[in-house]
Amino acid sequence: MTILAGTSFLLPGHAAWRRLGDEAAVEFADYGAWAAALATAPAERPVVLVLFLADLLGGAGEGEDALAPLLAALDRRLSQASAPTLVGFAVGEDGSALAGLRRPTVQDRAARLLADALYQRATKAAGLLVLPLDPLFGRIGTDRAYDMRNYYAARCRLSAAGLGLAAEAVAASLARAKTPPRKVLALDCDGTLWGGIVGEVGPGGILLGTDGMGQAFHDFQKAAKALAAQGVLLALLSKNNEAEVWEVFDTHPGMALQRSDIVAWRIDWAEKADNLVALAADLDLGLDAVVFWDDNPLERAKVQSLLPQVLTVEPPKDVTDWPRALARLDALARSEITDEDRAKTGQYQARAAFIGDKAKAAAEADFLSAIGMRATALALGAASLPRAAQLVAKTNQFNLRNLRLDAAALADFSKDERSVAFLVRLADRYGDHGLIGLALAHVTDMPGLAFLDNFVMSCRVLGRHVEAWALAQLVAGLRTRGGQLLVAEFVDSGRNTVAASFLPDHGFVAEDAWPSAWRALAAHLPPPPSDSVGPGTTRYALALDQAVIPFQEFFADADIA
Amino acid sequence: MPTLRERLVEVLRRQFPAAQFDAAATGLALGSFPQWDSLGHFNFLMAVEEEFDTRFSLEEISELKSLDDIETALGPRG
Repeated sequence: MTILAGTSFLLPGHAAWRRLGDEAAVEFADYGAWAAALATAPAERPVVLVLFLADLLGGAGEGEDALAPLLAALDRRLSQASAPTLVGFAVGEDGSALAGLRRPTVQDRAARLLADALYQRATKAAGLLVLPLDPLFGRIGTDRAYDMRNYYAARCRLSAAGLGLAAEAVAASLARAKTPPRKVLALDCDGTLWGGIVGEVGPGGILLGTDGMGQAFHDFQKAAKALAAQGVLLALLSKNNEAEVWEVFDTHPGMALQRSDIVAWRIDWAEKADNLVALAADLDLGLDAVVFWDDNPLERAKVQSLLPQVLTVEPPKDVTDWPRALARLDALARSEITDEDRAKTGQYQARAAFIGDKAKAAAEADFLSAIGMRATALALGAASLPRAAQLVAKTNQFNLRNLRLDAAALADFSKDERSVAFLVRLADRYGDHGLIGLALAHVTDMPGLAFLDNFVMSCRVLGRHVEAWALAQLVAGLRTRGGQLLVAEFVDSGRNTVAASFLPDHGFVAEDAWPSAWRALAAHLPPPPSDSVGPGTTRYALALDQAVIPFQEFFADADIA
Repeated sequence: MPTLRERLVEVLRRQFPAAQFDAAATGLALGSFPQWDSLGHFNFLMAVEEEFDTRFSLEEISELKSLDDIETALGPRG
């Protein structure tokens, strides 16, 4: 149960506070008893303090003196609390604008001191959340947000509208303490990033630039770019010819967004709901991490009904209001950027740069030879097991058998002398991609017979043939352990289509074309674990001593570490 | 169309969803049920303002104590 305290009265029971849940969800401190509430609130209960500087200034002096008791009480609470402490603050009164012409007013100065003091504490106390309320009140006008009649009638400084804004922001802030912000902004193109339909009017005919409506679209792009700088991943989701969209990106002077800002895209004529599912899979994120912005009400309605987990934004009617609406979107707002966020954005941006460069290159082979790929195989060991387990658990696309082994099972597997188990690390001129693949195979009890247990590759490096490099290492490892025939399976999980042709593309022979000797040998395989067998399991085999795995010429330093 | 009284009773129900009261009773006023205390009354008056898009003065706030009072005050603003 949240404890809510204010320096002036907050009108417990007012309908505005129902945003925080039913009456049982909130306990209001007595009027004026905010200091006592901070001092006595149990450590495990969230506390919300709504304070108005007007209540603190005056009697106790100015600035530091007026804030000292508050900050002392707050420090005591922060040193003990395990639950969040949310401090919403507002000034609560103002004077003539001319009073600030030459020096800050008492209120301005106190507000700045308070904000500094709170944010300084927030860097040390993870449980402290700071919510400046005056910018929110400013949206409807402070004269409407405050109501002195309520103050003289009930010691409440706010109007019903002001209470509503405060309650909504408090509810959203407390929810944020439990639910992280969404990570992806999926943007439509025609009518969203620019006015008009590029397929009809060409890049020269679209509305985008430095005047009027064109500038509104430009500023909307700038708002998206600002979110990207905060760690939001930008994606395109457009029914268009892909080349025409990129032509706008590459040639239109009014574009604020660049190709390199976009980490994933689906530009084709498929249904957007399907494309959103694929896009989220590309990014290894759930649909509940996605925000979708599209000017077309029909597209919005379809996505809303098919994918309720996605936040489909209802944009303002007037495009001139879009830049502000996007910037104000709570679902994407982040007050801190984690290392993971930063790394992820960088990785996907590198991927986008790679895909863009590859598309522009005249010959794929020349391009891949020139990007300096260095692959390394890292034998599974104590230090690498957590990453191996994570890859197995999180990779849905390039996951050959969908066999989900945990760290303990992987450890057992790697200890067997007849097994070949390694992680793949890749670096190239687009950066160090880290440990991006896992190969698991073993030589069976039947002499010469080997089995590919699983093969997993992060989708962020696909398109480089690093899977071929890993397969070649696997083949070499199995051969030194006496393997002659490698049997492998593709288990269709419904999400791993990208891996469907991996085996036949690299020399594996489908079961229906096996010679009889292979059949006889493969018959000795124990039945596979039941959790790996789906309706769409296809078996293949590769003769190890004759195997020539393609694409090895793109890689330098092919060694098993 | 609901009458002014019916709308007032509806606002009263919204403000005090857990309260038991007879909407047809005469003399419904501050204190008619436990939740309708002075704070509840102030919240109720704010909800009435919102419903009828009107505003009571500080003086009216202290004078309007019953549904009849409020109905009388709202009547001319109708």
